Amino acid sequence: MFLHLMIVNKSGGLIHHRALSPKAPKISTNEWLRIGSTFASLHAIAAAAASPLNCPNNKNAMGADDGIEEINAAGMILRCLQTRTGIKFVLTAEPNADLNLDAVLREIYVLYTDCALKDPFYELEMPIRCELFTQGIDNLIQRYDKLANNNNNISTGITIGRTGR
Amino acid sequence: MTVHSFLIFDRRGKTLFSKRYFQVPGEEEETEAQRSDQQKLIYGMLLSLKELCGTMSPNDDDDDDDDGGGGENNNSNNSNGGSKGDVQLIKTGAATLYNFETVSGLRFVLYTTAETSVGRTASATSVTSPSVLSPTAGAAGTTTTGATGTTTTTGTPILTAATSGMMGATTTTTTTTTLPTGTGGSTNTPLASPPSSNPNLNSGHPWSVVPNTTTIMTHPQITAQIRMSLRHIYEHLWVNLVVRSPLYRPPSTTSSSSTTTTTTTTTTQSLDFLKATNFEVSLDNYLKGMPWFR
Repeated sequence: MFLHLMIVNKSGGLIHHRALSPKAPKISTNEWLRIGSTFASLHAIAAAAASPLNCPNNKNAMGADDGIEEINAAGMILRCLQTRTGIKFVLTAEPNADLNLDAVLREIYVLYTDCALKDPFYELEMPIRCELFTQGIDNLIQRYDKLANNNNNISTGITIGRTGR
Repeated sequence: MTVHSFLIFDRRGKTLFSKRYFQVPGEEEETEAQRSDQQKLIYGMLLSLKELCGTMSPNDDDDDDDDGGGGENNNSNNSNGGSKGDVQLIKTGAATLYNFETVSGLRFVLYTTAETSVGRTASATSVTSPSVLSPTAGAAGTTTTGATGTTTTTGTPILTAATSGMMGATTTTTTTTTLPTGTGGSTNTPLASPPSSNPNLNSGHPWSVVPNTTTIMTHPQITAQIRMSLRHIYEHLWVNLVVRSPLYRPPSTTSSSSTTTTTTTTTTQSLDFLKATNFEVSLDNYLKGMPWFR
């Protein structure tokens, strides 16, 4: 289902990365840093490459700088939420996942504000080392996995129910 | 949705073909250098994103994979079709880029404006529902397009102006970017700037949308259709009309460092002979026949 979560700060530095499922390919820390900064610059380049179709002031509907919102590739879907402050939340998932990735990203954003930003010891734009944040993400992933399993079971479970007592 | 432009890149990043279908109102003429810079930008972005997606995509080592074990498997067949990391769609707030990459490295790129987005939470829509939005711009005359442009929210005026612009456009050569706007030209003035608010909050849309949430995921049907069209353009139009043309020269296989001098002659040759083939005309006819083309 989900593959990776990545959070990139305004300057392109990676402040959080984690694999969300065992299917996600293993990526070394250096590789992660490189991916984070590459994505940050490509995010802005995509908006520039779409000129003259730019949004006014280059701000998208949410008031944040316009850039990559979604990438569909052969093996995965990548979805990015850019906040007004320049933080990018990037989530990758398998393509058959029938999820609203945008809603998941928003929940992660809320988790970030609650656990990281409200932590008095957390420095802005620095790597996130908040236990509450990681726990929150764990719970969120568990919840979505359970939801997906329930959906799968519902589609198959009706027949099981009928054959049972 | 409105098709904005169509480009073809070869394996090295050279633009083989480019065509603009839609004129953004209020846009100034861009120079040859600017356009070539932008094309290089697009190609570079596609290349980098392909590499990025390749590293982040899972390896498909299912048990029906007969490669004998997992590990690096660059040719695995993924559920979206294509090799690992093959970028098919890049969506920004302003536009959507559809990419079809052939095995030989040719890239067919289609840029559209963002009206292809459909809220996932919306009720199931038919693919032809966008046609409800387009008034009979050409036939109805100038006043009605202006009226509908102001009553609905910001998303639709681009569509109406685009349709009126399209009606007046005749086929142009690849180099010119100004389209004669024809009868619809005068109505472009009520057009507001591209939507600054959530483009899904259109009261005229047949589908309902959750307000204040940008649950915009690209409609998978339209994506699949466009991808099939790009494939068709490659397999039937490009191969039959260009590659099989007697004037076609395959790209040289010399190393990239020497391409600056040795292949300049071949490159100009290939661009010139494109005008002699039917490719552009067939492409135009094909694209205009598509239901999603506006």
